[in-house]
Amino acid sequence: MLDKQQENLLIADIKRGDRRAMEVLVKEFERPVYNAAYRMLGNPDDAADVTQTTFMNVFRKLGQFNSSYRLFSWIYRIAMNESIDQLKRRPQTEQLSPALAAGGPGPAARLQATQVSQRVQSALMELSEDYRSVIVLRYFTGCNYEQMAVTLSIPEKTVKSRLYTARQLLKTSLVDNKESNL
Amino acid sequence: MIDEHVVALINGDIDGVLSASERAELREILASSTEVQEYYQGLEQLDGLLQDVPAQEYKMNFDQRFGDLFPRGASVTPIRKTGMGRLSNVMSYGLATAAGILLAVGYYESRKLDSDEQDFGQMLGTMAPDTNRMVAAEAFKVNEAGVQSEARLEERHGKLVLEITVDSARDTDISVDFSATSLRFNAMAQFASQFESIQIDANVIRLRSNGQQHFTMLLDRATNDEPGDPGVVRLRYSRDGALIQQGTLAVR
Repeated sequence: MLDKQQENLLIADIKRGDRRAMEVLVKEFERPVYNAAYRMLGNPDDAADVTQTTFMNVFRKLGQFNSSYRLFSWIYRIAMNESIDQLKRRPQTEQLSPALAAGGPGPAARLQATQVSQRVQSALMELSEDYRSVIVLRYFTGCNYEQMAVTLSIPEKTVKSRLYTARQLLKTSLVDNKESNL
Repeated sequence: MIDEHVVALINGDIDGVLSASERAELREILASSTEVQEYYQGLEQLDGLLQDVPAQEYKMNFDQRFGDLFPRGASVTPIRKTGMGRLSNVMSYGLATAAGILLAVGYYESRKLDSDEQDFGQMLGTMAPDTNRMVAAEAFKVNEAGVQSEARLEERHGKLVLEITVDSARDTDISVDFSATSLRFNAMAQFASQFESIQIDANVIRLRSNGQQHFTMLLDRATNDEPGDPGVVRLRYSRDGALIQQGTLAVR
């Protein structure tokens, strides 16, 4: 992850119109942004759309970015908001796409990884957006409590409360429920 | 029922944020309660499961996604490409004759959301290419069994125009969604074709197409948009509820 100084240099280059700097920013964040969107939405095509729109908004609004914050928090916030907007636009009857095949050394390992991914995704989609957001930020972007609080614009205390409850709910559906044990 | 404080300690331990004294306190509690041990093990198992979920590989093709917005060697603004050469021959021919056809076929629908004025003149203007300042932004193509389509989002005469051609053997649902940005539907013109159904909202158009269609939509930017703000349009083609293809077009 970029440190604060690297972020500031990158932002300055982008504001000057350096296309190369834009590519660097996209390369740095495309994977976590896509994964966060994918886990929020459960659909690879929608996640790709959200990823593109997120970077579009990042380039568009970079002039409004408050440099006292960290760039990644700001980008994740845009991605999470875009994902939630996408969920609101989604017809209630829309089916989730099957998870993408995950990489792995062999077919058995790949199948196992895909099954884990799909079961986790199904359980995530059962959570409300508030609970899903904290799990996604914690496990799929690697944010700590403070970073989640900044990203979601909520107090750290609320982050913890939501994370604990979300874990409890996921534990019930993924661990305690013997039929769904992986 | 496990005490809130203990729940916080367990979660804090899983997240690696406990102090030495808090860890010691948790160890004591774990040693004295089977219920807490089971709870801890369950959360630990969940944490391991979530940590093991493989990341989805994704690599955005910058040139493909943003190449038109941020061409090599260009500054952030203005970000435009000029020249009729980017348009396909079919599309160029269609554009050249579009205004005339429109007069013969008729005006499909025109409405302004921010004004009562029906800007027919502007609508006609957007049908014809502006050879002095044609801005070609992005194209999106569908080439699947039973449906071929091309969509282009362009700025013409200072207005954003979405032009779509469709040829489908069966009913095909097309959703044009520009709710991601501040774009608003202004007007629509249709050349020698009819839709099975159409629903027009402020920032989403849903239509059902069968046969050959050629139509354009005039989109307004919000008055508070800054120069260079991108217009983003999401297109989704589906049939009987099943997705055929979807994509995003963007232009500044």
